Amino acid sequence: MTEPNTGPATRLMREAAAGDPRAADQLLPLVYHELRSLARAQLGRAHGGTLQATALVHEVYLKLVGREADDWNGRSHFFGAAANAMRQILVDQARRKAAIKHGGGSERREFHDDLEPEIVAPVTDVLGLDVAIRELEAADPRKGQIVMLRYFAGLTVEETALAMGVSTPTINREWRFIRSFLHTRLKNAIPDE
Amino acid sequence: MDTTQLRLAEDVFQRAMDLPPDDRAAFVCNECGPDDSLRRFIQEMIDSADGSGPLDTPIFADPEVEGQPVPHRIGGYEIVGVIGEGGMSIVYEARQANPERTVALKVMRQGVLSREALRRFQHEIQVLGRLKHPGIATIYGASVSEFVTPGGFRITQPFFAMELVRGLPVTAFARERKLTNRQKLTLMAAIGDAVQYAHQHGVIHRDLKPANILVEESGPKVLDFGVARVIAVGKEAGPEVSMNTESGRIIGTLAYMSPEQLSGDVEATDTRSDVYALGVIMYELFAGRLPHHIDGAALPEAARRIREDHPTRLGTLDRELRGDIDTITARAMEKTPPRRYGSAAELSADLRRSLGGQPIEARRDSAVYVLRTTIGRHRGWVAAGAATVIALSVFAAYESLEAARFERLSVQSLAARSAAQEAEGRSAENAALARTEAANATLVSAFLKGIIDLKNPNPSEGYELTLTDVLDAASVRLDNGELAGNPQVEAEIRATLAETYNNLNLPSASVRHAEWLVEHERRRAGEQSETYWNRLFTLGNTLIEANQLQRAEETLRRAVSLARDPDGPAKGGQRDLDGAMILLGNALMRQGRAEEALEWTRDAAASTVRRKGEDHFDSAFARFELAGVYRSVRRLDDAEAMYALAIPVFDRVSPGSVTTVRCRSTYARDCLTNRGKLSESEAYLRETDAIASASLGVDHPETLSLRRNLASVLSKLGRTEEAIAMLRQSLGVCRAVRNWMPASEPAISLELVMQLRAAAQLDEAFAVAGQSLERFERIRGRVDADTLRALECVGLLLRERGQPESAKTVYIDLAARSQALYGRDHEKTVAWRAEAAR
Repeated sequence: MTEPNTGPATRLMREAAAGDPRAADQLLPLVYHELRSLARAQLGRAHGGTLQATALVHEVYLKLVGREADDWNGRSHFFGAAANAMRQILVDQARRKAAIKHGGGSERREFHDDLEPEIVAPVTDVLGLDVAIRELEAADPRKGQIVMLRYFAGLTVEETALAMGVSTPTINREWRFIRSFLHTRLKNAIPDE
Repeated sequence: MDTTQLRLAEDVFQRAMDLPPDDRAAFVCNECGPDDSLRRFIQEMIDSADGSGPLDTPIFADPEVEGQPVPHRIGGYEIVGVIGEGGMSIVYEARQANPERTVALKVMRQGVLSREALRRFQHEIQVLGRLKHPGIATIYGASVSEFVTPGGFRITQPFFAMELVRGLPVTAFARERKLTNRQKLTLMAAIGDAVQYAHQHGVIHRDLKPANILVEESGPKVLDFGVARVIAVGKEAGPEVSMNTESGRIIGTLAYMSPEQLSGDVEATDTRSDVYALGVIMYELFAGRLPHHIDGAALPEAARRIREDHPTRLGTLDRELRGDIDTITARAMEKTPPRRYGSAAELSADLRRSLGGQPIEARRDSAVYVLRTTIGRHRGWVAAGAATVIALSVFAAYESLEAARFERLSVQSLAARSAAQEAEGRSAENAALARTEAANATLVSAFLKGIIDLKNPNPSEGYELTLTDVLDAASVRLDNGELAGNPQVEAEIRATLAETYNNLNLPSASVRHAEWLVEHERRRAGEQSETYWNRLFTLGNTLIEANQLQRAEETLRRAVSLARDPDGPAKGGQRDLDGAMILLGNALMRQGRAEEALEWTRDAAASTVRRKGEDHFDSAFARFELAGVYRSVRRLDDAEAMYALAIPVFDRVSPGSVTTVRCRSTYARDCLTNRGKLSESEAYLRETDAIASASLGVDHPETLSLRRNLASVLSKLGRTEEAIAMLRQSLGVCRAVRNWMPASEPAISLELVMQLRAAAQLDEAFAVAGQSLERFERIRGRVDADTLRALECVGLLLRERGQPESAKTVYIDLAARSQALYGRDHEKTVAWRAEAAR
């Protein structure tokens, strides 16, 4: 493992914080890759086949960045990237499961070559949620960003406000709408099952 | 849903959510019109706002932060166990090593705290730590513990250590020990002493209840003194948030909260709110139940009952309690603070008089009592002590107001910085310019921060530090030339100050800044520049607001002639010309030169409509102004015609805006109320009130002024009680936010005085008139039209209350001030002089 604070992720975080958009873009695949490989490794250690998304992001953070990074701006970029990566992983996983189901061979899973760990998310209709978030993002990218930070990266309202550079009441108010919007969309979506 | 639809949906949703739950469906229906699918979607969103859903559990949530496990140590304290847990804090039993003792450790659940909030928290704890009284649980010290979440966020938790009290809540103690009435009175007197001691040190409890008064063998001990305020100070958000989000917690303490606290009148909550709580506790102690039945009632209903219902008297519940106990309890629990005991000491003294068989104070004629408390001389020292608390609360309020501006400011300085970086790639000249901008932005924020750190100028005299004081201090510092070396920055700050004074409805304070800015632009850019013209225009406007009409007229005539000058500021000049003509008309009208005013305003309106078209805000605005001029020359049909043209346009292009609300409100007054169409006027104003409350908020000056208008309609309809209730409520709202708009309060008070007078409630009318006068004198000065109106009310009421000698003195004063304001031969001066001679 690379030395904390000097690894590529830390460097990218710093550059992203300094306003380099390419750095932020490069951070995503890095985090995505780490999340996936860590999930596989954990699964190998026989965790019962499921993983908590929370623990996963945390471990990746420690591995890529270390404990010492203290710069808020940089960290918010990491969580942005982690949130996007986590969303991608969850959507992939849900698609795969849906495909297996439609193929009628749900039990064949164990014999797959690219055995994927199952990451436990507190939402059942991941694909439905993804569609709803896409709709939100398309109409108002900023709202998509809030969902990423609040929901996928699990930041508190205060932390989200800090990350986006606005006030806490603003986030509170916007979250109130986003939350209701997504819940309503989820309720009306035709579940995959 | 595309961007436009989403924006619309969000707008309607947010405004609906700001309304009480029962009003939302109707509001959404109204807003969405024929768009049924939108309506259904928004309704579903509103329905889903209350319940829980998958989004409440983030993918990356940390379960350990949610249900914090009992830590082993916090700061230098070893945790023994949990004593209690609330929404805002957890209380642990803990051991301190040095000095060795067991303490109660109260840890705030705060989340992320700003450095400023922490500083305030510690300051506040210091104040509380100075309370040393056998009847008060001592606060030993305070500190901050930090821990890092798995996400890498540093969470700061303020906590404080206090004396661990192992007694029973006062009511349980009385029950268990089967205390006699005399013992209960003695106990209450001792509690009153402790509360009085804290009040003398400027600390109000705000949350007195049996759970906070534990009785040990040695006597009662009051816990958590001032903690309600500490929590409010420590919180980032304003008081209204804690009222809303903590409603579950509030239920438990609701029964002991005074009507003024329940009205959300946070700033008006003073030592007498604690007296009220003591009254409720005393009632509970003797009756074995709470005075108001609020079990199972929804929060607003419970609050209403406490504010409005009169509890069964103790003497009615139990004959044995008739006499002193009944009277003292009722006096402590009076609905309005001036009718209560003025202090906990007065309550304790009365309890002891009763124990000693002496006649009690509470029996004294209540009219005399009200008058005495209104004059308020004896409150001097309480006010002095409370100054600290008031200053802190003003700080909190001021800061939340400032937060928005700082946010903007930091965006500006950020923009300036990135401009600096960008320009680096271009010419050196540009880069230098951008760097200057960045430096200026930093300078501005440093200056503003310096002002906020301003110390309470004279704490020993009970001076309230208000936002106005802070602005005044900033003005003085500018006038002293603190930023003279950097006129550009000074201009920016003065522009902000001028605008803020205007927003606070303090135009006369704004004038000197507006003047400075005009002169600055004249020297900097020259008289033909557009920026100079704009400053001139603003000055004219401010002068009108400040009632300096002749100077306003001069300034605006100059603006008009400059705008007409072919060599003058041509670009966009036409629009400004119309605006200046409208203002000039206004200045003339206010000087009583209505015919001249009509000419200017009519021309301006015609020209605006010609250029902008019917369906433009500016056209509607010009017609609104014209309606005002028509009204002043009593051409009511013409005025009505103008309103009829303006209002639909306002409603369409600028629904719910300040101007729209004002126009609707004036229309109701001019064309409905004043023409006797009272029920129509009421309906129209109520409709406008719904719009204004949703878009501007109930505490907006325009909403408040609309309600003042509505109250006068109600009183004309003979519904004086309703009018009084509405004004009282407005006053409550107004006091809760008085740092924002000092001028609204006395105006509403004055209207309330009229209504109370109409309802023959002369004592209260007199008390309120006194307050109104005091506020007007502070805000507007001794010689001002509104101040004089308030003073006249005082004189009138003195006469009606049968105090002709005092009334005479007031009229002499009034005539003298009127002479200074209007002149010796003005009809008002003459009339008041005649009254004085009567």
